[in-house]
Amino acid sequence: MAEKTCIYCGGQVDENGYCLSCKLSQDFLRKAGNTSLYYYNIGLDRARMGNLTGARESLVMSLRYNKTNIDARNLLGLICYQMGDTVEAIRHWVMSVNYRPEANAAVRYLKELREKPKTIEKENDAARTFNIALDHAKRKEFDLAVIQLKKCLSENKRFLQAYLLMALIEIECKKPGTAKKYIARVISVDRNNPTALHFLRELGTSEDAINRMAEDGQEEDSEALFNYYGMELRPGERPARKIFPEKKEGRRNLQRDNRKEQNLTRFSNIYMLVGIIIGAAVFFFLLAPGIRQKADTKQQTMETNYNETLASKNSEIESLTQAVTTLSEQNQAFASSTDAMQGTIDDLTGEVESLKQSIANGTAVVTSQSESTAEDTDADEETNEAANRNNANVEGISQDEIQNMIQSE
Amino acid sequence: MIDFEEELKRFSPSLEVSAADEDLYKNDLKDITDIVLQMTADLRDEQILVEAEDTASSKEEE
Repeated sequence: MAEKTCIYCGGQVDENGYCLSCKLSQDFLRKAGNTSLYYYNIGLDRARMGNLTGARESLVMSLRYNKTNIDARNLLGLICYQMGDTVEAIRHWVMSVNYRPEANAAVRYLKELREKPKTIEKENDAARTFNIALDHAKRKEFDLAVIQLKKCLSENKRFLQAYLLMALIEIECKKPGTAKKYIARVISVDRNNPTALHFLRELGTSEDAINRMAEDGQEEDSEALFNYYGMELRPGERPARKIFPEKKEGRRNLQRDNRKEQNLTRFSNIYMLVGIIIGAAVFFFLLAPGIRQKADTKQQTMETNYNETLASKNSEIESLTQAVTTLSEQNQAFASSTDAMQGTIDDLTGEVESLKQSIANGTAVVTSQSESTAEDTDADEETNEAANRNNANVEGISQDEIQNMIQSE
Repeated sequence: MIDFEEELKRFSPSLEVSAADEDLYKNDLKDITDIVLQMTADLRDEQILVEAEDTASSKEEE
């Protein structure tokens, strides 16, 4: 036979059913656990029916039998949250996570709250303003108390205690109509709230009117709560009994108001879109023409600058082209003059050559003439004459010039 | 008739988050098991005390 372990501490259990470690009877622990579950089921039924105060009492009772009942603790946290007591809700969820850190819905609740630090801050402010309002009410400074309470309710719309305090102040100020309006809000969330019922009875409201007030917008609120937090019946869990009849049409004034609020919130995106479109239209029709005109002026100035620059560049190009033309003409003239000079040089070179030849011929004649003079002057007179004739053929060049030319050569 | 003063006494100041953090684990509820454990511990202490007194008186008689 396998050894039994204690439900409470996990220690060894003896044959009489007592834990050897904590000395507790296992029967007693089992009974305590069952009773805790019994009260949890009652609390769940009451919560489903919108009786939050009753559910809270049952769940507290459930925890009195077994404080580690995670479901009861989580549901108690949810109910506290729904009644606007966020701090109490956080306390229960933190304790729940402390008892069972894994597979626990409270982890998700705390995570969701942590992701919205502004919400917690707002609800903290609401708690602070409620405390200030309570102080004002105790000093009978009702105007200040009402201002603080309105501020508190604007920050936390589920704060039932604030609605009840507001109703009490309104009753004290002899404004039962306004007081009933606040009490109706409480009753729509928590239909069996004893303080609200007490106030309504004292104000002379009939039981039928109270029931009608409670039924208005009641069921959907609690359904929304459970749907939002994903609370579902598990296999083997006792379903909630339906005490109240089916939803009746035409008795949903408060719920309609709620829907209107939700619609306003839901359409905030559309309002934002419309705002963006209006902003774009203002920009397009009012600001854009000015910007366009400025851009046009700038463009014109730039075009003028470019045109001026272009004209100056064009004139510069023209002057440079003219200079190029002139220089090319000069170049051609120089080339032609070079050719002419080259022709002259060639002519002169030819002349020089011819002169050289003539000089060479002339020298030979002179040499032969001197030799013949010495030997036979008379016989060669004809030859000298011929040489003189030859020399006389060289026209325009004197003897000295010829000598100079030979020397220079 | 609603007595304002009396009704006002039922309203208690709301807890702020900072205040809740401080005594989060201190003020957790006690369940029936805690109470039984406390009772058995008290009884055990009482029994020990009685036994000690008995032994002391018997010694005196001797």
